[in-house]
Amino acid sequence: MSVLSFPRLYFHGTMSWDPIVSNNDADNYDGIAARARLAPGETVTCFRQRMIASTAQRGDWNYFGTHICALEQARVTGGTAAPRHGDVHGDVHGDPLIDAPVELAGKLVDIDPTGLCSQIFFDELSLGIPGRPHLHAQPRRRMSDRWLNFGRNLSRLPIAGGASAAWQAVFPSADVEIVRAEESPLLAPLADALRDPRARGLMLRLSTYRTQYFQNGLRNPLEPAPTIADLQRLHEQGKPVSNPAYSLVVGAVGVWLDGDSEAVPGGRLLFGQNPVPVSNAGGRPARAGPAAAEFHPDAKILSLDFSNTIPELDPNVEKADFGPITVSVTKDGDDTEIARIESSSYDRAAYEARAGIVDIDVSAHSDVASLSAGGALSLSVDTPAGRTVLLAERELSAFCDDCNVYLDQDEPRTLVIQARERGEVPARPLSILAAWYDADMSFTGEMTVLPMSVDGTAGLDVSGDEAGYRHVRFVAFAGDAAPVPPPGLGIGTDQFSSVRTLPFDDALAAATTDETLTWEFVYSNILATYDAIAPRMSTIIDLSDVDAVRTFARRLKEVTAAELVESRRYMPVTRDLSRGKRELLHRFCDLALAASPPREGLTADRLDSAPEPAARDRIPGVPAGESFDKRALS
Amino acid sequence: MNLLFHGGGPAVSRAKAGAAAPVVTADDLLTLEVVPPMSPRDEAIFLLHTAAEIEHVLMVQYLYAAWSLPQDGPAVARRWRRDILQIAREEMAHFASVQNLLRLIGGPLNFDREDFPFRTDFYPFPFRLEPLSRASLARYIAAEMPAEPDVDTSLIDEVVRLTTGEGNGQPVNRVGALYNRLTTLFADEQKLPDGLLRPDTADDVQALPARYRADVGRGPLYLRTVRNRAEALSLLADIASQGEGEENMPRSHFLIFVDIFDAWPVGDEGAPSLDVPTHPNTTSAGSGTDDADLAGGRITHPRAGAWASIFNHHYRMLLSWLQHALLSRTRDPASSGLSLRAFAEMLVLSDVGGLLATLPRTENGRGRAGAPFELPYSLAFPDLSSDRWDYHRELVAGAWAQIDSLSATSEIEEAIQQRVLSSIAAAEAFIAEHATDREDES
Repeated sequence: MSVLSFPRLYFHGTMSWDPIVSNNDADNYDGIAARARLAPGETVTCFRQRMIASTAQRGDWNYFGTHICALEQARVTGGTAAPRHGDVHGDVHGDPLIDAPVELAGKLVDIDPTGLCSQIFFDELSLGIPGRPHLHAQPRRRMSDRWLNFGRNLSRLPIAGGASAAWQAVFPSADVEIVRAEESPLLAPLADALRDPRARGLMLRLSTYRTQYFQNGLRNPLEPAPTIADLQRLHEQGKPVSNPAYSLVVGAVGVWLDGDSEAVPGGRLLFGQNPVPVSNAGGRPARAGPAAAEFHPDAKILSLDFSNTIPELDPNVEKADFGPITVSVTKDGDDTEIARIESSSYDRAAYEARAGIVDIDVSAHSDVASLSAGGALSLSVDTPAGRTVLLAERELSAFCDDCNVYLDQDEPRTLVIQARERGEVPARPLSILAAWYDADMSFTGEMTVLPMSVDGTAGLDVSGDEAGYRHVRFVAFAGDAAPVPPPGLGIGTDQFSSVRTLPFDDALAAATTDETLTWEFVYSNILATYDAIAPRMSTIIDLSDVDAVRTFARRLKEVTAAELVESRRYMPVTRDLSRGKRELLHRFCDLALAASPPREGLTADRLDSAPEPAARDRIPGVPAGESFDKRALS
Repeated sequence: MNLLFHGGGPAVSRAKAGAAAPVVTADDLLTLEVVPPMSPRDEAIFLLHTAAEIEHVLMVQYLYAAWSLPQDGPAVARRWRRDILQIAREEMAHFASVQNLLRLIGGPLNFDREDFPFRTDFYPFPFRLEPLSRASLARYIAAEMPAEPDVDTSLIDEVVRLTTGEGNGQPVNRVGALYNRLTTLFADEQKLPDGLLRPDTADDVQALPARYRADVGRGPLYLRTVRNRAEALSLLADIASQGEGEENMPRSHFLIFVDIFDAWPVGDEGAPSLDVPTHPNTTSAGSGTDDADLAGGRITHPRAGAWASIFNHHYRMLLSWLQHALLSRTRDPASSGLSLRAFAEMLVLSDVGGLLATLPRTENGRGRAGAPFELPYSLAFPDLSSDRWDYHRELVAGAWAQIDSLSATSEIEEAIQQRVLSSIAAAEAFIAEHATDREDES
């Protein structure tokens, strides 16, 4: 199943991130009303000046961000075809696809700008180059960050530099184009695998880690700004320079099979247990991040996804050496060691070459198939204090592929939650607990127990009852006693979905006649927020210029259409335009296109008085003491 | 061997490569020389003028090729259409960037387009509006090809065969060779000393990225103001690599065309392109222009003919707004609006160009029409401000007359007609707000 099945491809490179962070501050952006918080009487021009003048003070490292995120210098490092019985060396060498570029360009958008739930909206993945073996694929949906690991890097790196995240996307077979597969021993089996009736398409899994900031002039041709003070100076000089950050990335592409999760890492899931000494860090203890596993009974191979598991020591991304890791299966109370993973299988070179996927020969155990089917996996290391469990399997899990949900006023939606037992659809009756958490990721007391149907799914009805953010955590359990939800959502290890209900603007739309739908109204109620918070949008269409908005009215309608919301082309990129305001904006565009109305006054960049800002000291979900911020304050 | 072009102006020489070379190669880059020799600055202006014309013709040809693919066709054809339209947009940014480079060295701007096959060794191939086909794709690939393409050699062999054989018959020159020559010139401080550059006027007279919907620095629309040699070289490198690809970037024009070519049916059997003509035109039979090429592309269906004329007129309006915008100082109160008017005309062309590919070409319903992109009698633009506004007024009056006389027969035509009307009205209002009159100038 998933990228842990065979065949698969690996790549390594960097990912650039260019989001705005001005809406991360509740002082400047009201996420409930989806409005910029302008001071009473303040114009957008003055707001922008205020934002620029306070760049360093607010730690705003990218006021002129584009939201673009893209793989850069990402290259195919190899792949594994179909290993034979016990052969874990099915890696293909000398393929024309190796060292070929991997391309993915999207937009990075947080569903809750003040929080941690990020999404990548993108339209295409490509591996290889035309005129050589290559593939293009269009995703079924956006990617969402999962398995956030704030302790991924053992050194303290600025902003979010030390954190990592897992991302996953799937590509339906009908939207996958593989060209010249016959010339590539790597692509040919992938094309064959797609013809398997169980195959639904391709799957991509990424891990992004070790993020560096203030890279202009080093990794791109933008005007250098080595510090936030330099960036502020450039902005004060009238230069709308963005300041993308750069992460390292490893990725794997495999086959998406029936039953695989689409948007969250699936398989048999293992989560970190105890800190263990790191031999190449002076014995300093560290925990492992989550991992996924899959047995291949025919080949007698256990595949482990360590893409988010082993921490790095420092900015140079040497891997922590935990020493040999013992893989065990616990069944009926008995532990059976089935394999050993040497550190050379998870060190930096191995990690970058195989995207963190480790295949282990388990053929020495003749009963490994039955052991694996009924037992729990664990990974442990020998320490001076004795054998210590590093990772242990969570046998029951529940996930929803709609990781991030936008709802409009009163809009109903049914979230489909899927339960798994050791990575498979459960054969026994289970229930799923859905527990609600508020925007700060604190348990609200609201929860529902959902019966699981025979196909392993349950439906949770949600609706846009109130504008704002919330999260719902899923836990599968057996028996009648539902587990007690913890007080806080564990963003790195819990399985959950986030819901943002957009502002209630239907009444505003209904009450606004064509006669009152003036430029001043549209600007002050809709466009000014984007002009203020995400000024880069105005590079494409100057949102403060009535002529520009009217000239591009048709394009504006196209890019703000609700049908486009999964595309990287959608606007506003921040995806906080309510149904009511979309209706108003489209009506204004229609009026502009249908007639030649008299010209009105030009810019009217004033908003109503804003309510008092709600200060927020820390980002919900970040454990106390972790070195992580979304702003450049550290 | 010197290849002199019409009128006795400069031409280029290839000292080593033979004229029969199908595609200019890496060796050729070193040997392209302008003959007779010109002063370095004059040569740079000459080459930039040539580059502007090439970007203009490529843009037009790519637009026509994209519109020859159905908007409602199979997903892959829609993707190709989208990709080629994006390439055309990128060529527009290159076109404006070339004007900025001309400004940097104080050269006159150039909005012209190839109309005669001169400067042969720099033009990629003779101007030809045609539906997308394996042969046309081969020409586009050859034009955008890097010196040492890292793709399947049999594919390149076929490209060469298609561009030089089967009656197409002419060598195709790589656009990259021209930019390479320009890069060599701009890099040479002896030939183009700093004193020749105009850094102080960059923000005042060059096309500002923000006015042309271009991002700064990271593409995909490479349009930047240039103040010095380093910025000029960086911009030239970006333009060249976007065409040819750098380190095999998959989104280069060359590789996008290779991608389409690789998947395009051999022999064009079952190709998704519409039955639009080669050389679409609005000429009349028996008007002295009745050669076979024109006859095969003549749009004789009345409604399609009316839309084709509207297209030509708005193409002319686009060029006039663009000239006015780029010839004005950026602080001119009308400057921003002038570039907006150019975009408004692009949107009209996009609407009408797409529509034409769906309308019948002939009165008996044979084939489909296409966007003719016919040039007006002259692209010369008035130099006095009031004359410029009068020129716009004339064009707007003509646009009103055309659209008023049109009776749309379908919902889509009605919608497009309405959008064209709205655009003309906006242009008229803009002129009323900003025009100077003759008294102002006296």
